[in-house]
Formats: sequence, C-alpha cells, structure tokens
Amino acid sequence: MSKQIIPGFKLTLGITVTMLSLLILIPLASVLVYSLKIGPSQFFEVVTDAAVTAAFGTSIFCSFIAAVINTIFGVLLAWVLVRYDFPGKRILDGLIELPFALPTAVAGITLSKMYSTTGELGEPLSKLGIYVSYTHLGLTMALIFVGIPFVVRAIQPVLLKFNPAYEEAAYILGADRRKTFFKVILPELRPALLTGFGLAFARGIGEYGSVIYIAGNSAKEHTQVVSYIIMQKLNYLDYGSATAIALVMLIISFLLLLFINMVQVYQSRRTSGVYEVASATTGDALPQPGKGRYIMIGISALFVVIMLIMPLISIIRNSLSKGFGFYLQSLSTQYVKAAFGVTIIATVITLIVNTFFGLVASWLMTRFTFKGKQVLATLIDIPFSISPVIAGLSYIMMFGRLGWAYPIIESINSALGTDIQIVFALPGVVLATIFVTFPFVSRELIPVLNTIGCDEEEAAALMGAKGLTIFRRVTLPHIKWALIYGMILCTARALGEFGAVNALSKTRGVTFTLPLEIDALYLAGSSDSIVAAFAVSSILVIIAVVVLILRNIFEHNETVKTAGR
Amino acid sequence: MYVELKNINKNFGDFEASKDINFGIEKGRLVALLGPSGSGKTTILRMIAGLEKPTSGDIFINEKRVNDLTPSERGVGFVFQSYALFRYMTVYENIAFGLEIQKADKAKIKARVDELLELTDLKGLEDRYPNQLSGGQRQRVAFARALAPNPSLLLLDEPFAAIDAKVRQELRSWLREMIYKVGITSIFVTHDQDEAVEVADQIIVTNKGQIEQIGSPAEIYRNPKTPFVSQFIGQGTIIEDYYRLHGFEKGDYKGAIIRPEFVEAFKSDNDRFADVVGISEKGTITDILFRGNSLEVKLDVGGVSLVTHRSLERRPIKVGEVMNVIIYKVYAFDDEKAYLLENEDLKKRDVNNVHLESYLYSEEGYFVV
Repeated sequence: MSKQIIPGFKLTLGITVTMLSLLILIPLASVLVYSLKIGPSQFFEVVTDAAVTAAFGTSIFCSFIAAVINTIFGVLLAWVLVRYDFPGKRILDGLIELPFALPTAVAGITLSKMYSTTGELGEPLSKLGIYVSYTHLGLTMALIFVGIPFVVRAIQPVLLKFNPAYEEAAYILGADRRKTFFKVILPELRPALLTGFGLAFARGIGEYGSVIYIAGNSAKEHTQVVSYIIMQKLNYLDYGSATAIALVMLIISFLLLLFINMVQVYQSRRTSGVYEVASATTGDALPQPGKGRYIMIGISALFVVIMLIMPLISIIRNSLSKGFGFYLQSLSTQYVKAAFGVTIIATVITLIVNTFFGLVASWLMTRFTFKGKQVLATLIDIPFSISPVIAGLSYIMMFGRLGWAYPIIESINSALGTDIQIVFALPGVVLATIFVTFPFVSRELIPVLNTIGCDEEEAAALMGAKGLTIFRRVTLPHIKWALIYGMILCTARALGEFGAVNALSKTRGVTFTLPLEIDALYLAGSSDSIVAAFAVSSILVIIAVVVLILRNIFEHNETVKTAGR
Repeated sequence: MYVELKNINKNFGDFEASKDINFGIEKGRLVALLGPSGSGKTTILRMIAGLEKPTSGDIFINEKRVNDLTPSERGVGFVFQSYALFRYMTVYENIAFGLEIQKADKAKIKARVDELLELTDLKGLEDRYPNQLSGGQRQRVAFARALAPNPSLLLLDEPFAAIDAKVRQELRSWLREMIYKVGITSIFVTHDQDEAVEVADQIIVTNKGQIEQIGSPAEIYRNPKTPFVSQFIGQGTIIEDYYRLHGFEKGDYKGAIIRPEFVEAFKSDNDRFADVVGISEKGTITDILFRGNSLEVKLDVGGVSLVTHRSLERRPIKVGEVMNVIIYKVYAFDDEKAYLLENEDLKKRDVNNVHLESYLYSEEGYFVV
C-alpha cells in the first residue's frame, strides 16, 4: 500500500510524536502526576467541595444549553448559507468565523459591557426585567458566541456535498420538503451535528476568557465556571486543588473527544464504499423553496446581527467614546507598547513552530496508515477541547518551583551562569501560546490532503522523486490556500490567547501580552481605563476582521480553482 | 399510447437539452433511450418522471396530461444512476419509505416489502445497510424501492453504470426478466448499444437533444435511417471514397459507413469463393488484433482502410498477406439520411438474390475455409 511508496513515514512519525510529547503530553502529565501526589482522600475532598461541584454544574449545564442552542441555530445557518441566495450572503458566511478569530478576552469584555444594565442590549432588556450580565443567561450567551462556528463549520461541508439524488428519490416516492428534511437529510447530517455539538460543548466547558467577565463569578449565585476556580486556586498558590480540579476536567474533555472520534469512525463505516455519482443539480420540477425561506434567512440574519455584529460595533463605539485623541493616547502607553512587543514575539515563534508541526503531522495522518492513528489524532486535538487555563497550569506544574523540571532548569542555569526562567517569563508565554494553537494548522490541512488523495504523490514517488521534492512540487500547490488560512487562523488565535497566558504571566509591562493588558485595563474599573481597554481591543478586532476577509478571499479562490473537478 | 411526449422542448439557460421531442410508447413495452452522453436522453427521462419541467410541450401518461402532477401522482417509479439508496436506512426501511410516506398501515407495508424482498431475492438482507451490500444487491434494492408504491411506469437512469462489467451481464437478463414478470411499462437510459439491444424491445436513439430514430433493435441495426444512427450503432468505419471499391458507384453522398460484417476477405486459392473471385479486389493486411472469439483484421484496399472480423476456425493469416476482398454493402449518407447501397456486381451475378442472403447472414462468412 501507500506506506511503502510515499517517503517520510518514520521521520514524520518521529517529529510528530516528539513535538506532541514535549509540548502537550508531558506538561499535561505533570498535572496528572501532581494531582495524584495529594492522595485520594484529599483529592476527593477537593473535587466534592461545594464551590467546585457547583462550578462543574454551572460549566456543564451552561455549555450543554449553549451547545444545544448552537446545534439548532447551526443547522439553520448552515442550511440558509448553502441552500439560499440572498444579498450579503458572503459577509454572513465570513462572520460565522468571528469567534475563532476574535480574542476571547475581547469577546468577554464586550459581551459583558453590552449586556450590563448600561449596555446597548442590557439596558432595554433590564427594563423588561431580564438581566443578562453576571447571570447564567449571560454565561450561556458568551458560550453560544464561542461555540457557533464549530457547529456551522461541521455541517456546511456535508450539506454542500449532499447528493441531490437523495432528495429527488424522496420526492419521487412522495415525500414533501418537510419529510425529506427530517427523514432523509437530517440523518445524513447527524454525524456532523454530533461532532459540532461535541466540539462546542467541550470548548464551552473549558472556556475562560469570554465568560469570566460576563459570568460575575459569584459563588453564591453559582456563576463561577471551572476554569475560574482553577485560576483562583492558582492565584492562592493552591496547586494541589488546581491540579485535582484540572484532572477531572481533563477526563471530561478526553471522554468528549473520544466520543466525537468514535462518532466519526461510525459515520465512515456507514457511508464508506457506497459508490455514488452525484448529479450536478436538483431537478427544476422539485418544489421550490417557499415563503418559509425568508423567515429562515431573517432568523439567521438576526442571530448573526445580535450575536456577532453588535459586539463588533460595541467595541468600536466604546473605544472611541472619549474621542480619537484619547484613543491614540491609550494605545501609546508604555504598557501597551511592551505588551505589543511580547505579543508579536510569542506569535511569530508560535506560528513557526505550529506551521512546521502542522505540515509534518498532516502528512503523517493522511499519507500513512498505522496502529494507534486514531489515538494520535485524538491527542493532537487535545488543545482544542481543554481549558486554556489547564494549558497554563501544566507548564507551571512542569517548570514552576514545584515542577519536576525545575531542578533541571536550575542546574542548567548554575552550570552556564545564566538566569533562564520559564514560568512567569517570556518562554512560558511563548510555550502557552504554542500549546493552545497547536493543532490549528494541521486541522486545516488534514481534510484537504484527505480529499486530494495520494495518487499524485505515489506517481511522483514511482518516478523517483524524493520526499521534499514531492512535497514541494506536487503536494504544496494543492494545499497552499489551506496552509495560508491555517497560518492566519493560528496567528489570530496566538495574538488573542488569554487563559493560558494569564496563568503564566504576572508582570505588567514585562510579560503581559495585549489580551492581558486589556484585562488589566478593564479590571482597573475606572471609566478611562475601560475605554482604554476597548481601544486596545479594537486593534485585535481589526486584525480579526482582516483575517476573516482574507479567509473569504482564499476560500473563494479555492472554490474557483477546484470548481472543474 | 401509454406514454406520449408532444412537442417537448427543454432549455437549461441557453443550452437546448431537448428539441421538439415527439414519441409514444405502448403499454407493457421495455424501451431504451440510447445516445451518447450529452445527447439529452436523461433529460427526457427526468421530464417524464416529473423531476424536470419541460420548457414547452405536453407529456401524457395513460391519456392524462401530467405536466403539473408530482411524480407520485403520475405513478412513476425511478431507479437512480447510483441508486441513491438512503444510507442511514436499512434495506427494509428503504423499500418501505414510499409506503410510509403514503401512510399505509403497518401490516400492509410489511406484506408489500416482504413480497418485494421475495421477488428480488433479497430475503434475509432486510436489516443490512446499503454499504453492506454488493453492487448488484444495491440495484435490486433500488428496483424494489421504486416498485413498492405500485407505480404503473418504471424509469431507470443508466441502471448498470455502477456495476462491474462481469456482474453487469447477469443483471441485464435479470432486469429484463423481472420487468416482464412484473409486467410494468419501463423506460431506461443507456449509452451502451449492446445494453440497449440486449435488454430493450424498442429503442429510441437520441442525439444533440433530438430523436434520431425509433424502432426495434433489429430495425435500428439493419436500417439506420440517419447518418448518426448508422455511425453510432455497430462498429462501422467511415469512408469518404467508398466509390473506389468494386461494385459501388459514386452517388450524391458525403460518405459511407462500412461495418466489419459487410466485408469478406478470403485467400485467392479458396475454392468456395471461385464463382465470386472475379468481382473481388486485392487488399493487404495491415494489422491483426485478437478479439477473444475472433480476429479483427485491418486491410488496405486500394488506399481505403477497411476492417473485418475473421473466425478463428479459418486458416491462419499474417500481416502483409494479400487477400481477396468483397464488400457486400455499405450505408451511404448525406447530411440528413442514411441509405443502404448493395454491391452491384454481386447483385448482377445473383439475380435471384439467393446467394446474397447467404453471404450476408451466415455466421462465419460464406465458406468457412
């Protein structure tokens, strides 16, 4: 089979496993090891503490509700985007991805401000007696915001590839549009729906940046989420409790991921090997979309406006609320300049590391079959579904004073006379950023590499081309746009990473990144500093919007190029 | 006429998929719509089914105009090219789907599905999913699903396209048998002339959105009426200067089609051809291809390149060998029509046409040796 012909199996496997182990698995294992040190009775005591169980309850409950709502709206949005034509469709499509590109901290302060009793939406709602900010409702809103792209992007490709013959077959047998949707189309969407639901749910349980501002974090009101509790324990230097809670969370994430992967395996079992000639279009005698489509487009547009566009406008409005002079002034403080520098360094290093990993890992995962591939795929995706706070925590548990690697760093320092610090220093910030965005590039490349198959590479290998030549001449042209998009997305997430960096960075003006600076300004609480927080946010918003526009252009290029297949 | 199309036109944007289509099909017929890809055959089928709307013209089924009826109101069953079996339903659920939509009661559905499982020899597979079936089994499920609501007209879009060559042969006779057993009027689309000839009892040849000829397989084969049909059916080769061959005179034609079975090549010492050797001409063998049950021989006859088949039972031949060649007949064509031209020399020799018959229709040529 392909494994003998296409070169690079051992090399890519080696690099993938090594990088995965060093950057993700060993740090995570440090959490595990430390949490086991505290003993079963204490462990049990920590995780059954009333505040902790309440936080787990809140996180799981709100994430579940948000994921359910996202699943419903996700199907609706994907359907409207694939099946109907209307003005502004491409903009709507592009905006879906805003929560991926927008830093979580920026989303957090914006939603919190917008839904507060003085905010754009919070004020009218409070007059109706509905309070959003600092309640479960607000928390759920924030989780809907971060989760929606997961569901839409899982369903969209399935709907796009949907063979019109299925609908025609149902129509010939007498089914109307409603029956066709529920009996024929929905079952085909089910695996994608479960995947999207699972990802949104997992992401929601671990979410930190976007929820901590709007949640209110009150133990009494049960508005504390698990990530917040871990962060709190970290701030009290209560590492035992932090790691114990993190471990429970890790187990939940892992079970969810495992579930998603099992669904995918099951799906491919049901659909593999069914030979298909998809007809180009659906027959024009089939019932055309009725009036209902305007309602669906309307609901989708309303959802996007309230959930995605209003927050964007709110940021810009808030940032300029004290005039343009003040705006510029808030951007030119020492702190902001320093944070900008740190952010750029962390982002550039992250981008290089993760692009390299993405290329190697996606080659490995799509060009070879080997034992344990499924497990490896699950492990690579871990950073997607675990709380960023745990990422930060795991580096503390590895390199911090209590960490097992601390003596190693110390001995290196004394031997070389250097003063290298990992935790609470720049390297920690960089490592945390790499951790959180680790699978971004590979995740964009794997589906593309899977679709194009390896016929061309095998042909090149048989003609005697070596690994790098094959990659450069045959593979790269196919994956160019996916690679660029993955790199852009990785950049956007790296620029905006908050939870993980927050755990590892303590010194404003030295190791603070832009999101941390925003957090510091916002929590300072004076009206000036809040406006300044939004001013700094606006820069990240502009970057996010540019990312979305670029994505839209790349995707368009891609569809134009592959249209003839 | 059970199915009738009158003045049907169909445009997709600027593209004319069907141009002035008129034909009728009698009840109980098994009809093939035969044509190259892009000839508009599938569009005709989909319009009859009610999947596409004709731009103009009327469709009648059982004397009733059905243009504005849905497929289920028309009473048609449809077998899709790749079957479009619902992947998340079992064989049973697939077959029962149409009946469930009609809200038939459970016991009736079960009885009908069981009957179809029996008929299509799928008993025991009802709990399988489509991807656990072979290509042939999938076709049978698709067939049973289409028949479940008791349609009076069965339409099949390239029913054998998704099947391996080997199984295809078996399924052709299976489908033919099955359709006659059920006694349902059926129309199927195909681009494969062997398939059309073997399965159908009537063939409609389409080309460029128009109908070229309608007739029984033998009629279509023996009497192609248009240049397109004469080229599309059989393995004929086109020759412009057909009049350089002995026995044919130049007429007002653009060229001629010669099928391999119209050409006889024999060695000059073959006694059995003694009485016709005088009207034969010389041809040099340029190539010999082994075709399994026969040889395909290419000959150069005075600059004209011809092809004939030769039984393996006859004496061996080799490339470069000079043979005596007689061409029995050709299909000459102008822009509109195809005409049968017979070898005049041969006709003169054989006033009563007795020998001509035996030249033309004996399986192994006039004489075996």
